[in-house]
Amino acid sequence: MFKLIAILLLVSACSSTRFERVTAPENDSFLVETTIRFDGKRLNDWAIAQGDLGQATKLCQTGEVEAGQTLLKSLLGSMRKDPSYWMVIGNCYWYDNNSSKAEYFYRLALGLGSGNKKVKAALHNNIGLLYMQRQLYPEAKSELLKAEDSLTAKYNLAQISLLMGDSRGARSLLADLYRNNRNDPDILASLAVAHLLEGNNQVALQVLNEVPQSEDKRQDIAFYRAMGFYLSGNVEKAEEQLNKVDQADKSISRLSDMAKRLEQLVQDEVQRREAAAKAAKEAAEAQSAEQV
Amino acid sequence: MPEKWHTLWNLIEEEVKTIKGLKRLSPRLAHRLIELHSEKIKLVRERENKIFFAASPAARKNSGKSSFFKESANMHKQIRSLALKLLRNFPNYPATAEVWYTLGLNERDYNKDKDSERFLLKALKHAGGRQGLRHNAMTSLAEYYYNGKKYNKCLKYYNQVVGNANDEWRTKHLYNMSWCHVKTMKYDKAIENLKLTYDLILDSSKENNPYPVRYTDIGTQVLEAIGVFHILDKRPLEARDFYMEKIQDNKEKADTLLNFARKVADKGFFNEAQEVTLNALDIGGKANHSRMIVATHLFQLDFYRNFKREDLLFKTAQDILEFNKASPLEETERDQAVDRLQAYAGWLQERLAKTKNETENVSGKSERILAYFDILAGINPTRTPWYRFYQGETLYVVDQDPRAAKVYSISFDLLEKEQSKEKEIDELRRKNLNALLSILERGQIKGKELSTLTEYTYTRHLKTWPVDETSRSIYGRLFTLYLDQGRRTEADGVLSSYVKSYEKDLAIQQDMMATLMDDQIKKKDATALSSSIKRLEKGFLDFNKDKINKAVGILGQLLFEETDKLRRSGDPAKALEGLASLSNAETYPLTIRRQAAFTQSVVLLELGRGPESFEWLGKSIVLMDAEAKESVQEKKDPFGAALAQMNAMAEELLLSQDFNTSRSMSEALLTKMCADQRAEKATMKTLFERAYTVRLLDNNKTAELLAFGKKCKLGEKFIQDKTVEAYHHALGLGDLERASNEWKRHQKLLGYIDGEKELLVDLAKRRFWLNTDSSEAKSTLSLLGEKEWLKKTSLALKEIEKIEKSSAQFSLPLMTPFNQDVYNPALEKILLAVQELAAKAEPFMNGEAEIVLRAVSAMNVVYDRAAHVIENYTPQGVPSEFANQFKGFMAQVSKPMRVKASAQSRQISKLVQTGKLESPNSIVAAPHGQTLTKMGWTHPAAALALPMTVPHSPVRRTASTKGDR
Repeated sequence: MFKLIAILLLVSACSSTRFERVTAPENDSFLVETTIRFDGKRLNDWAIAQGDLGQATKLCQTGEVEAGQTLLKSLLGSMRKDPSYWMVIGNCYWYDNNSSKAEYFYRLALGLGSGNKKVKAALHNNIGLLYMQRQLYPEAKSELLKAEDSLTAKYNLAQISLLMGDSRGARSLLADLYRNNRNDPDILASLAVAHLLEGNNQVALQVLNEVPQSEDKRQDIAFYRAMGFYLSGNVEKAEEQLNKVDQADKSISRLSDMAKRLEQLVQDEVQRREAAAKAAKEAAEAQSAEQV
Repeated sequence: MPEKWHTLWNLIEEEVKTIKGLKRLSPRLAHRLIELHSEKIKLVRERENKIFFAASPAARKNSGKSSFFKESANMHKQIRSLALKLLRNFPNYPATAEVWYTLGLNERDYNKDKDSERFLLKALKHAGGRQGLRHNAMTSLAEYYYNGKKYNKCLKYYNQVVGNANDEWRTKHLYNMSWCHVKTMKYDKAIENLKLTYDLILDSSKENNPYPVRYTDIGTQVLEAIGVFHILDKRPLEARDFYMEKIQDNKEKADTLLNFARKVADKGFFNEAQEVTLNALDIGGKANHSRMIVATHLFQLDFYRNFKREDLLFKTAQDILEFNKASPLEETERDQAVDRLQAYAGWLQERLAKTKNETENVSGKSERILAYFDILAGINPTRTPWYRFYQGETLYVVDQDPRAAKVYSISFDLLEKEQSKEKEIDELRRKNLNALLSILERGQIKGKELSTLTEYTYTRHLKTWPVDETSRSIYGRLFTLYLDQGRRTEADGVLSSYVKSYEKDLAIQQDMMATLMDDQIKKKDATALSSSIKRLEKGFLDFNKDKINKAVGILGQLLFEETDKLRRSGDPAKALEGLASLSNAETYPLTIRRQAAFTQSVVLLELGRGPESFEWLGKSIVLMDAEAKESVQEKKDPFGAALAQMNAMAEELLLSQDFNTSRSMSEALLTKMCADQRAEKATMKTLFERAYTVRLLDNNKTAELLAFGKKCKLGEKFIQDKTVEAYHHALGLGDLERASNEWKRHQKLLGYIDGEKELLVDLAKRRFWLNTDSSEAKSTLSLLGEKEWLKKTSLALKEIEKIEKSSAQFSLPLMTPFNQDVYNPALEKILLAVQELAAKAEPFMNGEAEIVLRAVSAMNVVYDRAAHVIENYTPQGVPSEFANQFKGFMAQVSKPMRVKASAQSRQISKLVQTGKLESPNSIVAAPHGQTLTKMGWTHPAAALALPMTVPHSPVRRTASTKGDR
């Protein structure tokens, strides 16, 4: 079992795949802090409103990192003293999976000593994010905690808590976010995970039922529901939810891996139950024959 | 003497000797001897003449003329004595008249006519009827009287002589006789006589000569005399008519008329002379008698000048020019024409100069003079430069300075084509330029014309006589002129010539150079200024370094002004081309080229073209080195003020994310500074730090740079800090392998610093707990002296694993019917085994959290497995009531295990919640830990975490903001 754990952790460490979760603005708790869950149109509108830095962010977020960086380089002369500028550059490196340079520019921005709390919080959040990717969780927490008043940082801290099995700590963090927006599917999903870890499967399923219908087709939601049902012993419904998860979708490779394993467990349980039913039936038949 | 002379001499001597050999001479022989001596004296006189003419004037003077003729004089005396003796001794000698005649002729020839008249008269007296002797004696007498100006006596004898038709000299005698008439004022007779003479000549020369002899042809003399006599008789045109009538040959006629015209003119008969001249020209023209025509024109020049007929004279000059065009004059003719015309024009010039303020029509007069010189130039083109000069002088006299300047220039230009340095030519050159200088000084020419003339005069003067006192003063003036006109290249050329010619005038030349450069600066002519600076740098005019540097600075401002403008225009790319050309232009000083290359580098950097920027920086460094080498006056700092800029550029490259170029640039500068053993350690450290940062970010051979930093003597402490930085960087990335390598590489240093080792141990353990099979983690821990921990931990893990695996053996026997005796020992065995396993796990339940976690997990598996086996056992072959009771009882048996497991999980939860256990592995202790483990659960925290992107507080667009009122 320990070997299995170790292999899984290794897979986790190597994976850099991010969940891409487009979320409707009314359900997006973090829309004032992050564009990560914007759809194309919303991102575009936002970029226009934000100007050059917004455009650069959009380009990098949509995979056009080189174009984004080119735009940013052209802004150096006018924006060199703006920490936001350096943060966007760091973000582009982050999108480009260059953790080292992303951190360099985040810290460069911090070094400018901006008085803008939101920018400062964003920088700490993002550095924390880098540490999370490096599996340096205490360091990550340390940075995230510096991101005062940031909903995103709080959400990220909750993720670390969930990873560390601290479901209560996670719930505490998520509860604040939940109060802010009760429709955010990521917050609801994280809350559900916390409940699942605590064994509160039904509560978890209830929480997942709060996910707005518009977000209901998300595969992670289906997966967590499948977990809830499975852990509740409802293998049929678990199976039903697992069917909603594309286990070949590489963009959610971590999730699909777990879904495959869960599927196996579900199948095992179904077989076990069938075998048990069969055995029970045979026993009943033997007993009645004896009575006869 | 000629052979004939000797033959005669010998013949005479032989006969004289023969006669003298006789003892007594008869009168006839005496007469013969006189005749022989008379013949001999002719030979002697012939020899004496030869000697006399061969003698030098000094010898003639010293000896006296008579000494050359002594022999003939003595001979004459001897002959005279002999003859007189004969006449005295033989008074009746029949040939007495012949002897007297011989004496008369000898007197004429050898005794200056002393007794000629007497002896000839004696001869005539004794001649009797001998007509021949009489004719000769009278002829000699007539000639004697003619020579003695005794014209009436002369006429007396000529009247008789000319009647002799047999004398071939009859024409001569008539001619002489005519002169006697003239001398006695009998012009009609003289003219008549001459006309007769001319007719005799013409008639006797015909084939059907009516006369006994052909008379001597002295036609020319006769014709001339006819003219003269008519003139003397003041009716010259009659002579002209005679000539026209009598002379058949037109050429002769023309020549005669011309000569006559001269004579007529000489005598003051202008109209007649003019008429004859025109006749002569007419006849000569018809006869194509070119030379005569020229001669006539030449005569006309004198003639008209003498008679002050200026218009006719000018017309004649024009005629000569026309003639020359049609048929070039011969050299002597040209010389004569030129002499006359030039003299006349010169005279006119002088007259004009003297009278210009008093006379009228000055303009017309000056134009006439100019025309004469034009004619002269036409006739004698080789002297055209002189004639132009004279024209200039004429115009100068009448204050027509612009025109004068023009012809002076023409004259000079004509001479300029001549390479000759002949004195006469050089003098004329100088005269022309002096005249032009004089015109400039007089100040009548203004404006553009003045500028042009000034430049012309000055440049020609300097070119012709670069070393010359006048030129010495002109250099500065021409230089100023050019500068005023904005012609700096020419001004520069003047200065160069001045320097070449007068090295001693250094101070003046330095001022000129400074003025030139000021002008170049004022006009922003960077190319010219650059050229000037290059010359100064090479030592031109010995300027001091400060002044040169100042000029270079100004040049830089000029050159970069345009590119700076372009840079500021918002389109710095436009500046690139200009900067590149500045940098590549070898005509500019190295300082400028280096600045251009450097600026190019900066602009490229601004444009985000890092690699190109670096390339140009490299070029600027190369130029820097060249600059330092070239500077002979002082050791030049190759970086100077540019160092700070370069450093800033490298920083800028870093900020513009051109990491490689930033690093390369920093390292290039650092390398050069190290090689030069620079003292600016702070800058060097900055360069090093930047390069080092890039290498860290790119994980690119930091050790190599550190080694270089040591060589570069950047300081031990500095290098140590950098070493630690690389180590911390790796740790910060969570990159165990890299951190471990840094440790290995710098163990001595890092091991010496408190806490450094622990940092790596911590990372290695964290990685170990994420993957206990991680060889990297294990080897790092071993390296760090954690072998004991590893061993202990490994044993613990193995033990815990064993504990967990042991639960797999838990089972209860299935039997029908159910036999309690068999079941109970089996149950006890499980319970005992659980107790034993719990006992085995107990040592791991305290201490390192991860081990506790695993021990709890293992025991949870044990408890769960045991509970599961017990709870799920259904006794077979027993009543259902028994079976239910049995299951209830067994649930009681397993319950403590469930409770225990739950309690352990809660303990883990507490550890987690209190932060004492921070490990993703903690889920194994969760309520569904085993299931979660089976499904490979690990919360994808990093993947689910959200980055923050908001650069500014977003503006929420609402309905109210729509439309942007």
